[in-house]
Amino acid sequence: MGRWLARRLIITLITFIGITMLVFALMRLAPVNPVDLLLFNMRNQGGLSSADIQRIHDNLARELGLDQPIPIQYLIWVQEVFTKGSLGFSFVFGRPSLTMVLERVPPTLILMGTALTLELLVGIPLGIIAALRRNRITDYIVSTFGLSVVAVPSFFLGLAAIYVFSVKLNVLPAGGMFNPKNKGVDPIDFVRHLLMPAMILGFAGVGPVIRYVRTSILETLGKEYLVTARSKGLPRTLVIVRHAFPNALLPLITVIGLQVGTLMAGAFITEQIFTWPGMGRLALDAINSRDYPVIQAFAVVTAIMVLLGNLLSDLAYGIADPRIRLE
Amino acid sequence: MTSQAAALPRVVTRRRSESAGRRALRRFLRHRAALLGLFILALIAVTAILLPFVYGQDPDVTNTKIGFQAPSANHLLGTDRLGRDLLARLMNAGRVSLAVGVAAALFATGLGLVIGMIAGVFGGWVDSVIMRFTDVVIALPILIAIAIVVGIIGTGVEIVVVVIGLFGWPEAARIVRAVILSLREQDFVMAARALGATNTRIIRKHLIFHALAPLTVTGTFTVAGALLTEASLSYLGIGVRPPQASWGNMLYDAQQLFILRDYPWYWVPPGLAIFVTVLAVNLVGDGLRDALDPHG
Repeated sequence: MGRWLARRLIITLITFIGITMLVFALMRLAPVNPVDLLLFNMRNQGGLSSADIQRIHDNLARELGLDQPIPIQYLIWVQEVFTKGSLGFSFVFGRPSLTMVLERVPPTLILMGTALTLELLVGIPLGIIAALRRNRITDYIVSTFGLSVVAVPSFFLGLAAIYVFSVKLNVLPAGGMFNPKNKGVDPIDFVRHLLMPAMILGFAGVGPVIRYVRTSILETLGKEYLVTARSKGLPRTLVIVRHAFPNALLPLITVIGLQVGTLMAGAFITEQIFTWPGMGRLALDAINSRDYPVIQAFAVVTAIMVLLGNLLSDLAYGIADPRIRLE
Repeated sequence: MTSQAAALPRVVTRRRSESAGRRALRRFLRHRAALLGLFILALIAVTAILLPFVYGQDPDVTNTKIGFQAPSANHLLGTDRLGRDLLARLMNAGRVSLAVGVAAALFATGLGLVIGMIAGVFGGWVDSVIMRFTDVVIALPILIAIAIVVGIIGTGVEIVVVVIGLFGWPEAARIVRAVILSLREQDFVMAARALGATNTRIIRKHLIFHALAPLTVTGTFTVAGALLTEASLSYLGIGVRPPQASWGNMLYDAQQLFILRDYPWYWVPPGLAIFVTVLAVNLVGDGLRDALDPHG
């Protein structure tokens, strides 16, 4: 187990380094000089003549090694990031961009987690039903449903949901995470705000879940150990529940790991529709206002989250399925 | 004896054995859902081409005096805030969205084909490096990657197509690489080499044949994904920008409550159009997958 874990960690680390290189390269393509990134605030505060600014500009350029070849610049950048723990300061707010992104991570995680839970709560039973009623009408309906939900554009569904539940029926709030009128934390109000965004985010993910569960159960049902259990005299329900399901649902852990990226991308859109105060909205605002440091921080944090999600799901799979560990 | 031979009836009817392609076609044609998808796509294509001849409205002409009109005889889907005809814009947007989707998918599949071939043929450390590179690209979700690139370089139809291609190749590359690796083990490749065939010749003759089917399936699903990605980006305002119409950016205005509430004809048709088109492409892809690989 240790060796396998070490190997996975190394691969994750290499991938992360690769991503930082990619982000670095992208930032270099920005029409803004990295020195300007740092000088922006100083310039705005005023009180410095243009000769002064030019002198500071040149000094900084030499200090940051901008006259060096690109790979050296990358290493200098990495050193800056790790020694100071900073990914720049926001152009718009002046605050450290990494802090700004990190404080928006919890709302996004809550949204993604709830959406994932809803996906599984709906998808697993439907997948099981489709597998047990294979090739009959029920299976056909469920499978078609699974195929259709992936085709619905989430923003369209979100707008339609707002139209139905907020505008026409007025039972759910149209956006935000809290009601500004309430003082203190109201859990019921929070759930009311969370419900629609989470459902819309999870909607498209139900399709793959149904498909995986159905295929996995059908495969497991043909396995020999089930025949053995039956021939031992165990009742059919017991065989299915205690032997078939646990083994069939194992690949779901991998699906969950794969879903992290999809959910992040979906959250990006959903947070905009429902004005949910998460990372996605922050990033979109930064993109629209050309706030490069925040964009950079968002890229790095997103990459870390996706890689961590994959690593954790691989780990969980390794714990759940001993066969992997023995490789 | 000759007369005896001539008297023998011809029992064996001359019939060409069915090629794999013909079998696959037959399986595809039995897949009702896929046929429905194909029919829908054909319908959309025909409408997009013929509509300008039948329906006279110009999608770009603005006339604020007739803005926000409900569907009428003159404007079958009403008008938008600037008085532009919504049906004409819908058709125009369809052309753009479909063009972007197909172009992006072609680019991604082509790129994946090349990279997969390099990884599979050269093997060794080249293969490992490319595999790690694939991990890096997969780590960032496509939508977010494009959003970041757009935030830095700016947006436009070309950028969307290129970036979807640059981040969408891993799927195709994996398939091509797997096909090459499996082909390597086959005896006929060893035999071909023994006969003196060069790598290029082997690839040309055998790889294309084995990889074409799965690549077509992947390509089809990539089109569906690209359609949704472009629509999402345009909706968020960082994809195709007005005045150029796209199904996604036609929904952009619906973010304002009064439009959402009072003018359903504004935003429902484009949304439905996206859904129906993506569904049709998915159905065709499913049919192709079942037709070309019945074991799956």
